[in-house]
Amino acid sequence: MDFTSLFTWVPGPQFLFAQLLNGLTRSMLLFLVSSGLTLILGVMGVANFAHGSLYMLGAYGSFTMGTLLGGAPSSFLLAVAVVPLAIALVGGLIERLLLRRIYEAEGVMQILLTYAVVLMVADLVRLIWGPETRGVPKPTVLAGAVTLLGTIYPSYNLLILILGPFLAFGLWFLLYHTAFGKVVRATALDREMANALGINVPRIFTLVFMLGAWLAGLAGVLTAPIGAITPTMDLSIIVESFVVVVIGGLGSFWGALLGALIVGVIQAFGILIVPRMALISIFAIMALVLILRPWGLLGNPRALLAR
Amino acid sequence: MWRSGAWHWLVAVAVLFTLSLLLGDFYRHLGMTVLIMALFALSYNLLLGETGLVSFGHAAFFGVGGYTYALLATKVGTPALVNIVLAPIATALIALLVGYFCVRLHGILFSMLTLAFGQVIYTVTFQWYSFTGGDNGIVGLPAPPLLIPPGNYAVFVIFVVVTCGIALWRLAHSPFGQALRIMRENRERAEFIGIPVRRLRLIVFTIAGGFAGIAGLLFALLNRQVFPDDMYWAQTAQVLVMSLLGGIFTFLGPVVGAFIVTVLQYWIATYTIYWLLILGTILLLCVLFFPQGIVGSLQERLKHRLAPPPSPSPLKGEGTGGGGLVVG
Repeated sequence: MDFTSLFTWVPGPQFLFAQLLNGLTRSMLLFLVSSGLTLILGVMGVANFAHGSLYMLGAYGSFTMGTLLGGAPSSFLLAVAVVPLAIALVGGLIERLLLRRIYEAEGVMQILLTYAVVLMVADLVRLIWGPETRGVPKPTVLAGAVTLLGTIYPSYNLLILILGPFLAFGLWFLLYHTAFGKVVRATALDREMANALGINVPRIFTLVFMLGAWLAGLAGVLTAPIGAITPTMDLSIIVESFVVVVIGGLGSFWGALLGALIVGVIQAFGILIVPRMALISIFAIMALVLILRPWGLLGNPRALLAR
Repeated sequence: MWRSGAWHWLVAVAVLFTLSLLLGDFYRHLGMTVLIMALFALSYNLLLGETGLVSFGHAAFFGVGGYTYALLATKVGTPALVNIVLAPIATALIALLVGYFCVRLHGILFSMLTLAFGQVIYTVTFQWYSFTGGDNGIVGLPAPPLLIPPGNYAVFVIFVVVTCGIALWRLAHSPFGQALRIMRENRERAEFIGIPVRRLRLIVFTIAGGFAGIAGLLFALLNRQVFPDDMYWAQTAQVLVMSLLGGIFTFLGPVVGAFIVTVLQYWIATYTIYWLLILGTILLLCVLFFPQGIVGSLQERLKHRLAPPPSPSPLKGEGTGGGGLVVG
């Protein structure tokens, strides 16, 4: 066996290209989670620690869907349609039953409340689905691979890669070109004024929270066929999404997209340099951003002062 | 002032020592764990209650305290007494480094960043098998011969915890502690009247980290082992629940919370493995219905019963309880 080849191995351009695609796939999933996180943060001023838990519930929901339907070809499509809606309902319940009671309380209590949900969901998931790692098969149509610029790449990952920008566009359209979006942005800007102008602020809060939960649930469903479904996936995603939000700027929609792209790609390449500790490479970036631009790349310095 | 402090200290040490003599091995171990967790919770509440900072990475410092001792003892081979002194210092230095980044942020951002840093420290410990032993931890730690008999170690724990507890009490009741509370109540006003908010936050973060390191060190020596789980976020959740359940705006609240949560955990561990679910439920109920905590509510009730107008500073009220109550 030729050991020297291990040390002189230099990744070829095809490998690097595949790794870039991997990073971008991860970016798209990260964007789905962090856009919801940043939306809830921007509009409601609540840091929803339970956002990673909703994502995890989405992945497990997809697993349950698969077992219920016995792996029918359409089961994945059904999971994409149904599970995120169910997660949105869970989110709506969290907002209605828990968060609503303490909007008047100190920020500390709001942080602690969503944290309590994280703790409970973490154990509920172990209770319901067990501690073992679960998996969902890829939909049969997308199980193959395609050749892209000479690189063989799984079609499923490519689908996410294509889906991401569409979802980003849809979200942008919803926020900036519909009446609902206008109301949401008005509420984010000045809650009291919006209220005075006749906007039903509590209803907007519920809807925004449900939208964020839907996005997290969708990301969970989409990640299920390509990642391991474990009871600890809530924490890794919430930490990464937080890094995304800090890098991009608190409450900034485009910041979430930019941050997700940066974090996903850097992680994909960081893993080549320090295997198994890719988290550290994105932390270095975050530390840099925090020192140079504490309000994030696309954030608003005033928003930082207000919190 | 000093004389009354020394008096409280003596009473607390004597009472705890007498109690520990009455206990069997199991209950002594439980008692030591309670005391160590009480110190850990007190260090945490310095951030949460006194300064209004919600840290989700505090357990990392608890772990670093234990691991510094363990690594020095097994990899470097320095004498145990030196390691005991170095462990809290090293922890405080790491807290200083982490704090340098974290205290720039406020509210939720601070919380998330501490969570992130805590996870990094945990991940490094968990994955660096060749150095930290990964999830196997480091077991069979050497201890100074004097501290090997459980009775002697109990005295050592009582001595250290009571001393640290009184130091923290004095800190909370010093002008420094007053400044922390002003920052908690209104950061902008604190800045206007010339309080260097960021610097004080960094100092309190470092101090809290250092005391958490002492607690971690005591815990490592108690069981003669360290595991990455000591610094896992669930450990922070535990200390958070202790503080909140006991009452974050009282000095002794975290001690009471540490007692309840630790005993509950010992008792409940035989029935269920879903400890986080229980912690989460307690936390949820506390936030929604019982934000004052046990000691906070008791104080409130006492104040109503005693009728005279409330003292201008809430600190005066609990001063009457004094350090003697450290017994918890």
